Amino acid sequence: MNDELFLELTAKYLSQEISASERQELLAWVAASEDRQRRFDEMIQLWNITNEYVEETFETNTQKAWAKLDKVLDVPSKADEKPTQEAKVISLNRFKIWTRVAAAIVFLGFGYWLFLNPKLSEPSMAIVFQTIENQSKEVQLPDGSTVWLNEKTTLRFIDSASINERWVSLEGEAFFDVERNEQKPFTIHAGESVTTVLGTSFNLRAYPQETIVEITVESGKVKLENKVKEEVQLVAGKSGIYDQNSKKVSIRKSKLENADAWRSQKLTFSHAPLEEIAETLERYFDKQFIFKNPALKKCTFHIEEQDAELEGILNMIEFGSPWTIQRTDSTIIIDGDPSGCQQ
Amino acid sequence: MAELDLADTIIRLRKDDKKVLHELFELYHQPVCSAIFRYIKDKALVEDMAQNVFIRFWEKRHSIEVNSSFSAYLRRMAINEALAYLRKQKHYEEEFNPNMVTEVDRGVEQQYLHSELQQNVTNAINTLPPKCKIVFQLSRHEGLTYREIAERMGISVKTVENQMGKALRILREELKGYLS
Repeated sequence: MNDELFLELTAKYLSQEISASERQELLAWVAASEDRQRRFDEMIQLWNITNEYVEETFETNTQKAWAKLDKVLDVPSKADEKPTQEAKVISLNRFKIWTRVAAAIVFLGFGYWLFLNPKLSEPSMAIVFQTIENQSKEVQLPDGSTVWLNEKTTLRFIDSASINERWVSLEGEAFFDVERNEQKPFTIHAGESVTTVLGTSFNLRAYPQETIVEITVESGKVKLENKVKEEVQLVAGKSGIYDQNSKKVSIRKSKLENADAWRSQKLTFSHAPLEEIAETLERYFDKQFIFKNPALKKCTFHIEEQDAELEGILNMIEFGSPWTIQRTDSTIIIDGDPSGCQQ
Repeated sequence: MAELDLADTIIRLRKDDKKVLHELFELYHQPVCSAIFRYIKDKALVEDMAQNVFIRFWEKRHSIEVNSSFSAYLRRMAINEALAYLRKQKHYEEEFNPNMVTEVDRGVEQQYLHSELQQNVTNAINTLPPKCKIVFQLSRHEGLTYREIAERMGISVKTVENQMGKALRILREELKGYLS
């Protein structure tokens, strides 16, 4: 693949225009050498930083422009005005505009507008890591912590001598292995939740479009709190939830199994009901499960799968049972007789 | 910048409440001008086109459907206005084009750039050839699909692909200091 084709395919990949076969072609080509991977990584970095573009400002006198428009429209604000008459006035004047009125425009006031930078209040020394769709990445933070970013995730990290914490904001999902430093707690801000740790490992999922922020602790101890400082303490094996609607924090009754499967590629279900398995698979493989016979949901399975793939797990469920599993692009339809299954 | 309440504003528009147009104008006239200015560097023309955007907006107030925000809606109208004009003028040629490359006084706006990165990225994007820059920005910053870009610019999807590749090549060179 020459550089030109590489760039065209990469552009399509980044702007999500790429077809399945092109994606395969590109990713296979990239995977073949370290140099190509480096070049591909560079393009992803490039794509991410081009978001920093600042729109040129156009200085204008809005008041004067309004006076002009007001005159052109010349429509009474009364609702009872006949619409036909109105339309006539407008079409006539619209023609006039295109004849270009020569008016002296005085440039007063420097209004400015940054469309692409909603986070201006953010301190500027943040280090930013970002992933796009279908990309995950392992990164090292300057404090020695390691973070694995799932797809469509943005992580900002600030550590400076002037603040007494290691400040992180997260949009998306990440697995943290935090370097212990009791002098400087590691705080993660996601939505309006704050997670504080000294040194532990845990998975944190906080996609802005989802209603809950979810944290699952693998080792150590974690504090999860909301804006009004209500908090829960989580230890290894526990999951906590921050509800974006009620703004409350709580401990999940059961541990969220497989929380970091996106990273470990490992799925474990210990005698779990099919309903629960389906929920997890829906999350990881982006498919909708449909049970034609709802009684099937209660059947339990024991599954341990390294390098988990959907097909492999479906095969296990199918194996030795008289059920039928239909696969379409977006759905998995399960039907059959639940009698004889383990519950 | 405060958004107006969406539902309330639409109801008022449908009732021909001209005050609401004034409020929208106060909020978004400047952004609409800036959006057009990105593609058209003739100041008087930008003012006229912005005015035209608000006139068309007012004309279709009874049928208007705003899904996300008035800000996004008016901005999209502004960009369509600019592109329709350019298409009519056939101003996508790569050769020298006075409307596209007129240097503007950048002194004031430089003060508003918040970091060196923003400044360098903005400068880098501004070095792209006119057609290439428009294609890149419509994709990267406006989120248009290749097909939408091709339709709006009156070019083929293949040309959009070429221009996107070219944009990445130039930007990679311009911004190589930031890539590891």
